[in-house]
Amino acid sequence: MQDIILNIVCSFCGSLGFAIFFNIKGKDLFYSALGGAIGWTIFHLLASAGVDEVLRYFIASVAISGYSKILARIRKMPTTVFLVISFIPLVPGYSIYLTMNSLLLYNIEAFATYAVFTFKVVIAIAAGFLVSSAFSVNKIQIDK
Amino acid sequence: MTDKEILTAATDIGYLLLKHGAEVYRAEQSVIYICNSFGITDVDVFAIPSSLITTISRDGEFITKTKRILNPSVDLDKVRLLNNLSRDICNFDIEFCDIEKRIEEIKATKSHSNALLFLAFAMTSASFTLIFGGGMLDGVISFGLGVVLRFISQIFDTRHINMFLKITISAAFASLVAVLLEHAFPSAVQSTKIIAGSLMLLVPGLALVNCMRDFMARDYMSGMLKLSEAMMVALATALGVAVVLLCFY
Repeated sequence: MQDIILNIVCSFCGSLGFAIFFNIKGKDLFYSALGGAIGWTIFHLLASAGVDEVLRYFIASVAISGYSKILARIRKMPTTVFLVISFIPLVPGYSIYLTMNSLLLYNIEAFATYAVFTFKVVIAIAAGFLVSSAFSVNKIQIDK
Repeated sequence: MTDKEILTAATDIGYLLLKHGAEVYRAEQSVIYICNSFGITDVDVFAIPSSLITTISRDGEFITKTKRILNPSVDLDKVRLLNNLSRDICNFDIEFCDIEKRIEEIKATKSHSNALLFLAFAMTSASFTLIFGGGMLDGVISFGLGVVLRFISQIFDTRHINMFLKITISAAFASLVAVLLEHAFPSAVQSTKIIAGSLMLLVPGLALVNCMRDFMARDYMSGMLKLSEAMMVALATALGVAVVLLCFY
């Protein structure tokens, strides 16, 4: 229980830091950081339930994209504002760093493992976007 | 409004959207919508994160305007304001001078205070150290490191020193501090957790996710650009850490 609370608080604060850095203001600071906490908490809870890691990324990605889209509608804001911040705890930045690090240390086996893992995570996140955009009300219009 | 004024207003807004971190397709669409709302139906826009080209034509006359985006800086508040502005232009009749005035206002909006930015860096790096399984002491060390990393990035930004050098030095500094502290207090400090947490401030996770979004919007060119950016930033980070680790192990 304590572990879950720590994770919720920390993912909220971590996203909030980036929201400040990206100059979001007012109430939206809270909403965007909340998105980060929601995504990470889902990811973490699924982890303790023993769900496969890539599947966890996919489910969290669907949840976050949906959350950002709904909130963007309510707050009349571009979806990016919420999406970018909500993804902060989930982005595979650390694994792409590990990929490059093992390349520099000439550990080819680790390089291949991390590269494939990063690729899998990115695909899972992208698939999550796609699923939630299928249910999106806000269709892209080219001709007006 | 003359065609030239319409084009100026539209490209200014598109340029600022790209500069402050909006998606490429949003910038392109804003330009198209704004031109359309003034009755120009023949609009061709091509944008990548570093350039925006627009051609409008009416009655056989055509004008082109190119904008080069040199130093992008993510500012989502400006993206929101620009989005409101382009929506207002499409819905209401706004004069050119009013549009220019609002663009100037948006350019002049302030970012958060410096103290808050220091706190944000420190909070983020401490939070991620705790998430990655670090102890309370590791969190405190990361908090301090976040402040220093912000300081380093500020020095480099004001002097316009190369971004990759900034990232490499920041990463090297963070890992040096973490490794030294682990040597001093082997039982209390976990250097890997501290490095992982403070590197969250540097790693290009966002560029990677945005690159996938561009690919899915079929902006392959922008997607490739962001992918190469992500690879280069990750390489710079890894270089900084690797130098320190190679010296110690």
